Amino acid sequence: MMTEIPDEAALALEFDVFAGRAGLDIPADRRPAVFAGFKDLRRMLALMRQPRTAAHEPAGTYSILSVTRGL
Amino acid sequence: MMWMRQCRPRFEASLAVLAGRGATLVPLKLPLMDAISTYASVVSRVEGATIHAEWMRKHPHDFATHINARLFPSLAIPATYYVEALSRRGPILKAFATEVFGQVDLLVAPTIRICLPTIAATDVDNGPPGTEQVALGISINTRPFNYLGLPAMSIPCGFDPNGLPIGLQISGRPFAEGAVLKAADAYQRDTDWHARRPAMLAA
Repeated sequence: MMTEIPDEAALALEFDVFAGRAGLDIPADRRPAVFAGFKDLRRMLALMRQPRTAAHEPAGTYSILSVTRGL
Repeated sequence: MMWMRQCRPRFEASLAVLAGRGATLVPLKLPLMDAISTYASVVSRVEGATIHAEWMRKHPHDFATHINARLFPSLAIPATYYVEALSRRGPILKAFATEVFGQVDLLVAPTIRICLPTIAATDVDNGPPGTEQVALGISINTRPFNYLGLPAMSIPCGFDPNGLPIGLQISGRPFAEGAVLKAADAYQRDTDWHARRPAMLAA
């Protein structure tokens, strides 16, 4: 699950699997920075899954209230 | 802060020009910035990775290290997150527009919230701690409007002490392109910043 952050070793394994599946040949001198970016991304994605209600349904975005001053 | 001392006076002078044209100035704290920042980041990362993936795979050293670090991992963002970031745009836009444009017709803000930095000052890979924040400061005021899809434009409103241009961002509610253009035109009828060139280019 993206909502849980694995430990460093598990993240490193996950990163290597991801890079392999994506066909990435990351240069050795760039790997530490890219792995750090991968960890940051995992932390960010964990914050995305939040509780939501039916009010989050995107239909009807351009309602009269969002387009006019008719409040 | 440098911006407050060196660039804010130009921004406030711009507000005075708009007030002179009849605008009523209402300070606002923009809502939903955390959510907008998060979802905008997902969209820009996925789309950036998609656009650059092929070239970056073949020529990773053509990109700065921090760009590698940002875009390579973005290939691991699940499609469901990307779709969610796009689908959340609607409700967030609705809430943002209702709250902001229920109070005002147009929103004006500095296009960049820092004085224009040098290339060296934004060298994330080689700069001191905090350099990334400087680099992020360049786009932080424009990204929300990019994500929300609101009409927005930047017009020249002065020069900083380094002789580099300062921008005034004008944005409006959905489909208010006409009002945004009209306000920019009114501003430029009372100022000539758009006709001036930075001294380094004029020489």
